[in-house]
Amino acid sequence: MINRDFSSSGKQYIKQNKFVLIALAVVVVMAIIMICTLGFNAGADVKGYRTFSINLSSVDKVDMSNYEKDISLALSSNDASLYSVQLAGEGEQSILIVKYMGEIKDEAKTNAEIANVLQINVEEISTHSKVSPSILAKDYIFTIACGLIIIALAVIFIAIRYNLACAITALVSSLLSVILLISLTAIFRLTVTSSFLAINIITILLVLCEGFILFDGLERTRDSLEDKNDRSTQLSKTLASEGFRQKFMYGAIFAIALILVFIAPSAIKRISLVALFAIVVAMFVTVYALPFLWSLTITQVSDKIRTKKDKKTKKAIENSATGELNNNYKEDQVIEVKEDNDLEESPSQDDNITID
Amino acid sequence: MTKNRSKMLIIFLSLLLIIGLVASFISFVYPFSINGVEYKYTSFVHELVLGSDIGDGVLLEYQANLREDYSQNDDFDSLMEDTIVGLKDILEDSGFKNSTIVRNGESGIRIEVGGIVDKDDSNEVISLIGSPEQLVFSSSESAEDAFMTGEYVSKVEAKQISNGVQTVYYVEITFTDAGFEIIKDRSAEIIDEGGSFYMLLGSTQVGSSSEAVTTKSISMTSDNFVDLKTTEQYAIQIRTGMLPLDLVCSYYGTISAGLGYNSMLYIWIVLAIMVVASFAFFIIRYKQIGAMAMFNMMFYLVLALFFLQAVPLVHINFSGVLAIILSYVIACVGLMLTLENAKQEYKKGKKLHICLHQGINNSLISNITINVMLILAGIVSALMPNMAIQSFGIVSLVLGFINIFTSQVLMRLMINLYLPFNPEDGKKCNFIREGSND
Repeated sequence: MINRDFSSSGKQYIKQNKFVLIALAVVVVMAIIMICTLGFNAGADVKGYRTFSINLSSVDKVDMSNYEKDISLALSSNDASLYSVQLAGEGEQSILIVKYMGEIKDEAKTNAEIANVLQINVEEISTHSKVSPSILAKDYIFTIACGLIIIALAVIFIAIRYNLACAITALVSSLLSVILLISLTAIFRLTVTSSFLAINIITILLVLCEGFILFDGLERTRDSLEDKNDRSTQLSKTLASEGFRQKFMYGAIFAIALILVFIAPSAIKRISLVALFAIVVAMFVTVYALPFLWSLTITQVSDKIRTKKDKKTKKAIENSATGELNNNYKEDQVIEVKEDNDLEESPSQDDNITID
Repeated sequence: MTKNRSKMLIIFLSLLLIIGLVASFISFVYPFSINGVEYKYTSFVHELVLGSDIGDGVLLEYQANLREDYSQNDDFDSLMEDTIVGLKDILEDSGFKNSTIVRNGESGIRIEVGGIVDKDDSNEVISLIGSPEQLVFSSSESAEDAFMTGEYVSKVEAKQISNGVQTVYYVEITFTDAGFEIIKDRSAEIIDEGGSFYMLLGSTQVGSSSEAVTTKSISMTSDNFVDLKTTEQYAIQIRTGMLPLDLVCSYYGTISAGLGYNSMLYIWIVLAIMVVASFAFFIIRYKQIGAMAMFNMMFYLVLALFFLQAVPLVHINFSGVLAIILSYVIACVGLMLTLENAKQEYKKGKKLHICLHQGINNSLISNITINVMLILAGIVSALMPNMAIQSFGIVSLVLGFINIFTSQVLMRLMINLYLPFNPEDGKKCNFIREGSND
């Protein structure tokens, strides 16, 4: 699978996109520093939340959208942020359950404010209580295991279907996407909820899917081109040719997340914001990092294979020169050298194999 | 395929699609009744099992109290934890996997159960847990003579045995090693004295026996055990008595979505925008063949909704919604890969029918690989114990298969149906030849 066409197109791509290497190095170092130094903004199901209920028996008509707005304002002026408002029960039995993050210093004052804006008696508001998180430590461990198993399955499949270089590229790219997403979550103080775990898996899947499309496209381009001299240039173009489809795909998911950020209730807004960042990360990794990492890996792997072959051939020639080998072995070596020559149709200067 | 045959097939598929769309979105009462009973058809959308975060559910609030027999040294926090784990197991074993159970304040427990489709389900949840009281084994009908508590029971299961003619339902109670030693000795003593031993939940008698216990598991039968479901309910009632704390229900009722009131409405709006935008995109970019792709995606929607409500394990929470969005985008990308490949081939000067067939063949491996990856990720995620990841996994798994079917089988059919009407003119599909000024 790894041949001269891939290797030289990889070199060509690296030459044209040197800035990606610098960008990648800087981004990864920064990401790791940020993850290590900054904490995370844990969401309600991760950290737990505080709650109180409001008896709505005296209210004629329940107006949820206004209630949510008013309660959110009252809470934010008291150093807390609204997580969600739920309506429980029906008719005269109905109560409002308010969940919020943060700790309120003066509970009575906050209750009075809320009672004022909702035009109810302050007695209708219950005392605030702390609620434990619903996500357990084992959930994180299982999610990490889940992500790793998915990556491992994909990497094994890619190694079998394509080659080792593609497998390494997929592995590094998917890990890179997770590191970047986690670091952005820390930097922008995004909320980590149970959906954050799923968003990480989605990011990995997007990167792996793009990897499949790229590797498949490269193989098809190489096989379809009859003019062998033009192959590396065409392959190099293929590396950057998925532009429109990628823009469509990421644009579509970005737009969906953006709409949710604008229209949805606060809890969904928080999750959608993380999804927005996940899309940006997946886009960066697939558009820039994936082709670059592939180029880097393919050149490294093919160079190593070639160096190994060179050494082997040289050794065989030396041995045959000193007459230590028998005739059958010499014939094997000749066949091997011939096969190498068949593979490498357009030898470049740096790949000269001397068979004098 | 001839033009006439193609026309007939398109009409047939359109009718099928209309029926599918009606079945997916519209619930109605059948215009006839059987023995005076009216029957209602519930659409696929209304049959979807939603998680407590995005759909309505049931809220139960409990106050947990220490039992008299627990010493002051018992750690209340760990007893609360054990109670929450026990409640979660009970709900999951009863089929309510979509529950969130949290500690509320010092001694409160809040249970939110999602996936409630109708009022019967909500009543079932409420009656399932009820107000649990301690399980005790007593030498009389009074709990005062109790010699052992539910602490010494390791497992309670509903079982059935059949001889081909008759099925007998029973509850099997398995004791811990220490529990078996106690009940073996005490039951032998009680029976020797000519009495019976009783099993009580609080002060309510739930079973009795006049035989000494000689094995680690005992079976209980009753005339009330008419089927496995009633037997399971009975077993669960006994299991609630094994919880380490007494629970008093302080509130129960229906509750709106955990992520906020009307969460699902916003999600529907976004999904609708996504679908309409993708349809518009296909028609604008690929014109006539884009319309066929849109036709294909409509079938995808009907199939997706049908399987999401029909597959028993599917429950959709917000992570499941994310999986739906991801799968839909992957399905659109699959069609785009096909049509963009065809466009490229047409550019090179090939005939339209060859281009379209090559387009679908060239995208075959990419499409299948991506969706196999989605299915594999789905399987792995579905095996995880976390509810959010599980929902994501099951939805991805189901939609991955539908993606493969629609992108490869159905789209191939759509292309074959389209070609008799336009075998050559690429302009009608917005395909342009290389060097063309159009």
